Amino acid sequence: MNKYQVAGCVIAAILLVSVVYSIVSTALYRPKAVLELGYSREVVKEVARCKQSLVNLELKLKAGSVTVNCTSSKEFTCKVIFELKEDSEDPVVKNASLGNTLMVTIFAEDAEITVVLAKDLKYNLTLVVDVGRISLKLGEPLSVNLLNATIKYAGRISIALEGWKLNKAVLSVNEGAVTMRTKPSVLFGRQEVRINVKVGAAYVKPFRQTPSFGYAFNATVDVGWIYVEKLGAKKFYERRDTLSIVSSNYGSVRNMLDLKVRVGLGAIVVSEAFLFSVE
Amino acid sequence: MIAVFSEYRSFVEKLGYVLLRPEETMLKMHKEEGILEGLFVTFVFTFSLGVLLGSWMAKLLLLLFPSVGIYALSVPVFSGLLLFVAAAVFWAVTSLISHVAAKTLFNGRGSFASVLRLTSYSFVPLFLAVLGLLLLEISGLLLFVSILLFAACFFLMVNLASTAVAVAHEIEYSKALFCVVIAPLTLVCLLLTLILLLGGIA
Repeated sequence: MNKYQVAGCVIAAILLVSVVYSIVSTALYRPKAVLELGYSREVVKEVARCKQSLVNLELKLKAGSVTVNCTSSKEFTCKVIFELKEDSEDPVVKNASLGNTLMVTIFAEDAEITVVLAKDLKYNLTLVVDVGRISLKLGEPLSVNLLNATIKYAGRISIALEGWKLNKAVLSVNEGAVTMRTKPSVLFGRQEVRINVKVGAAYVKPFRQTPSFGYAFNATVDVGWIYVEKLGAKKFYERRDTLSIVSSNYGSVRNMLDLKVRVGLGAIVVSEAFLFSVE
Repeated sequence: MIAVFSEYRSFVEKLGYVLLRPEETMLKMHKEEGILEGLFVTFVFTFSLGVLLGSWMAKLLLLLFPSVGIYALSVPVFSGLLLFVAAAVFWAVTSLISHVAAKTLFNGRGSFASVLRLTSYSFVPLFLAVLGLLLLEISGLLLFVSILLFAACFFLMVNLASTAVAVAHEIEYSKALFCVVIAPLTLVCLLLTLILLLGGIA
């Protein structure tokens, strides 16, 4: 065998190996589920009904997401559904009575949590997630006296104020975003919502003044911009630092929303509805 | 095929000769006729490269959509055929440009068929690119070696194409190099400028 034959054989071998390898490796390829979060184990815990009508619910989660729902069922004070990883430790749900208040504490390391609350009870909610998402979307009336939702490090809070009987809500995000949507026709009484974002953005979807609903809106950005989204226009109006809008019926109607938004570094986006009475 | 490879004991040996003694081998091949063998060489090398690239795409497809299953095997085959068609077009166009440049600028005496047949062997160094990709598949740490193999592949391809044009047109190697590299590049630049200008006017 001369050197030319050897060189040719090497070339042919490389080509043959590459073709065979390509076909065989593709046929035998079993993808690892790298895109899945791996929450494969479900744990459901219920806190039974008791005589207390006010529930102080405190939830702490290191990583993952929290979704709050409600039900008309009167079987439990609250039901917590955990989606956990196969090898993760069981979450902790504790409860204790203190006078007319039931204290419920929930703790989990890494999970997707769904909290189901009863409509006929009154709640104080404290939700703290280190990294992840808090989603509060309730279509049915739920009575929440105080809502305190915090993303300790990074993540997002999305809240839909539809049918809440809410007194005060404080939504805080260290780095990330808050999205808020509301339907004024289903808000009752005076409600106060404070949004604080250190670095990131807050997005407030539109709501308008109606004969039975008024609002006061205050937005402040330390470093960044406030964008007021104009109806039907492609450009944004830019306003520096602060923006204050108060509806003409503020103080004279029973149903009111007091909304204060503060962003340290970033942006606030407000939908067009406020344009009619920008001060 | 036996008639075509009659000068050599086998096609494999011919590939060895092309790689190690390109000028002599091409001088011998200059006397041959037909471009079927050139088409076969182009197919073998570009199809292998395309199949390897396609297997990566197939694996990505399986990762994103595991339900694709065994149908993912069609991706490497399709990719190999696609690369062959693209390479055949590239081969024909660059050969034509080189041929016209050699004929008009340096009074070359060769025919287009001869240029086409000989330049097809410039795809032989693609085995280095295939080897580079195989090494990358083994470990990302071999990236440097792969880059060296890709560079070697490129320079060898240019060398073989230049030798092919030089032999086909009986011109000097430096002139052939001009026809193979500078002429197509100039034409591409001119075309791009024209397209950009027309686009600007429109």
